[in-house]
Amino acid sequence: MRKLGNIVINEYIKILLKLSTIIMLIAVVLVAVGYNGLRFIQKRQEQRWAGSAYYESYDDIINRAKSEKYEGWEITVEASTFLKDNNITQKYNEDDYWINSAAHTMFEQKAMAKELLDAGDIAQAQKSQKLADNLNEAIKAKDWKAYNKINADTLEAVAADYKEDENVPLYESKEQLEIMLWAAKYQSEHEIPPFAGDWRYGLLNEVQANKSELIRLKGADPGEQDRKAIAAAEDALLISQYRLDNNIRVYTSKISGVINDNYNYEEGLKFWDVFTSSALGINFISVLIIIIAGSLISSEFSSGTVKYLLVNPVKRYKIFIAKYISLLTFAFLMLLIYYLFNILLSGIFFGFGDLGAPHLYVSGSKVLKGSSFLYVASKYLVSSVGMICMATFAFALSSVARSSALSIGLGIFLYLSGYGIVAVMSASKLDFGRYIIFSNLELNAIAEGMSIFKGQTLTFALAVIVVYMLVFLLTAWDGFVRRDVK
Amino acid sequence: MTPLLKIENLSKKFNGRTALDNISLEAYSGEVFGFLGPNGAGKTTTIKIITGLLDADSGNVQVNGFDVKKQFEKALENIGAIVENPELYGYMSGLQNLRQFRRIRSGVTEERIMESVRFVGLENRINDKVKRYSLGMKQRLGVAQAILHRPKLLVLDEPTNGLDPAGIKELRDMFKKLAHEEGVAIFVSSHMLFEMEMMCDRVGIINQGKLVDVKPIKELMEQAAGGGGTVYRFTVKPVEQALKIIASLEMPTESILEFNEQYFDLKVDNTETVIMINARLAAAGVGIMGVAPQEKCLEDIFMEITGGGGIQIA
Repeated sequence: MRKLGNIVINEYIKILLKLSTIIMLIAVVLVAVGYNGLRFIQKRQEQRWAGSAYYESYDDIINRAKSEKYEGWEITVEASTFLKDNNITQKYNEDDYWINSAAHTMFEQKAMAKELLDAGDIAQAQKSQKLADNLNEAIKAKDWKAYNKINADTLEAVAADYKEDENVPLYESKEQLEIMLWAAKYQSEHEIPPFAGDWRYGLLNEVQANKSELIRLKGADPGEQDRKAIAAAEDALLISQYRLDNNIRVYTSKISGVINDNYNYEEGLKFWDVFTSSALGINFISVLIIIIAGSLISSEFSSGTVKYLLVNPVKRYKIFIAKYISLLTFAFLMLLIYYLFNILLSGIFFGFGDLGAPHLYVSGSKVLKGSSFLYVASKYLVSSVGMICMATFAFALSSVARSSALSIGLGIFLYLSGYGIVAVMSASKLDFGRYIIFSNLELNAIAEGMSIFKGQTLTFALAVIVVYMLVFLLTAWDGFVRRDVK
Repeated sequence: MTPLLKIENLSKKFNGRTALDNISLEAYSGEVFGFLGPNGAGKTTTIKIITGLLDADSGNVQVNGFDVKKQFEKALENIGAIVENPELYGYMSGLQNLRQFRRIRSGVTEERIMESVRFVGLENRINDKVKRYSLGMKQRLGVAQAILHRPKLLVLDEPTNGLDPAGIKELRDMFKKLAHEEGVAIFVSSHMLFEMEMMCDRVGIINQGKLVDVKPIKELMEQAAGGGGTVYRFTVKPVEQALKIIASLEMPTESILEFNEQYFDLKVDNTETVIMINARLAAAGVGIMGVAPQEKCLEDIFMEITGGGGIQIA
């Protein structure tokens, strides 16, 4: 064992002393720099785009309303004049944002009160007038908490005498109305400002949207229900609700592609947005690892050093094992370097403030907290399955063919094109393609049921990978351990 | 005395072509055993089988009593070797290369590394990258590598390749010292008889995969010499006149091996004859530019030992 360890040390020295390896390490760092730099540019552009949002001036709004005379134009004119006179901007901030909609509602209700009075419905007219007055007071006091309360009370009243047919145009269904009522009450009780820039307000909207989505999905005919979508929506709801209840702003979660409109462009990308996606860069690192794998054995043959490597009191299989261990550990070392550099660079570009963010996941309809760093590490590991397989392939080829160029070339070619090849096979209904290794490397997708070939299970994929790896390794073993050194 | 290296009935074929044909030999502690043969005779193949790089089709090799195939690690503890060219890692320094070996051989200390380096006289350049070494320096590093773990058997494949004459002499002295003073058995291959003569105690001759003969170097040289005298090259002017004088000396006609306008080669039994011919030619007014003994080439000796007929020399 001591000898095996020493051979591994020897192999590491060989890998590290080659100039090309130093270049590779620099390349890994550059991939991390490039990735974070690009995301930073993206952030800047989004911020510029959000900051340059165009607001029509009140005068323009009034003029347009007067000339176009669309339905309810008088209310627009009244509200805009009011807002202009009271120096309320249209800006996206806590003070002004809600007053815009509050003012519109106020003048709507005023107009409605007048109409109802003309029609003789005095009770309803008084209700509308009262609402308008309340709104007016809240606006004058610039009291958004009062505005929240008004909203909640109004919706409660609507829900109290809800009638299927009458209210249908305004509220899709009783369930949807109840969701809105719940949200308004929650907002009032928990003093969440009615301002879209506030993260809790955004999150509340997200919960509300998730609830609605779930109802919509469950409302389909039992035969046409999309179970996967329902399960995903349930998880998304659980997590957004958990965050709302526990005041968790920054988090990571593997749920994506479901409703998540909590992204604030003005604030831009944050640390975890960028770091969780950094596993993309592993594709570049894989190419580097395949280059090392493809020359690990064959370079000893082409330089003639293999004779001096083998004429030692160490059995060949030990040298073989040591070389493979070196390859694997070096690959993971590169991943670790890439991982650490991404933490550093994402921190520099996007701030170190959120490092403690939890990873949220659902287990048995309960939300559990985990480590976000471990979550990203697990993403890295799953993404590196393809890298390890193709590195082993190149390693095996270099042992059999004893040619670096062939091993590296074919290794990289297959790594880059393998997925495309099986995708074409799948499209051409060549079902045996499911037994090709490239159909089985995207473990994340397969686990989520999005495999290239239909009905591919995770167990099947893992079995295929194990079989291929065994074939690769036995071939490499045979090439190195059993054959003559001529 | 038990042999340190024992080769028994070794045979090996490459793609149907016989490379080694039933070779058996032994080398003992304290001797330099020369393995002599032309290029392609099977020297490197034998050495690769001894060191475990190749598997023999049949036969076996024992080193210090350990079978190379069955007890590889134990056998290799006793072997230090240079196989073909000394190809070490060019991107490492000499020292870094030696440390690679240190890690996988037992009992090699850092001190021992420096001792070996001094032994081969490489201490001034040991921290340079090997790719900047001359062939001679690489050869020295190869030797340092081979002796690092104080092996009982040194297997050296044409170790003087690429060395200058001074380097060759140094290396020869090193090997003799290792064998005669430290009791190492040295198995050294070469295609140059002259070199063998200078350093070996015994010689095995291999040709076309067959071991032709094994005998002490003295016997071999005597046999070579006794096989028909020494050839001298007379560079004279005019050659024609000189040949006429030779003819008049009643020497056997076949003793003139070759002649042209510049010189003639003559086979003679002893130096007195050369002095006598020299005097005769001078007396007859033939201009003598030079008289020099010709080194007997390996091919000639092969012809003599194997009795000529059918031997091809690669």
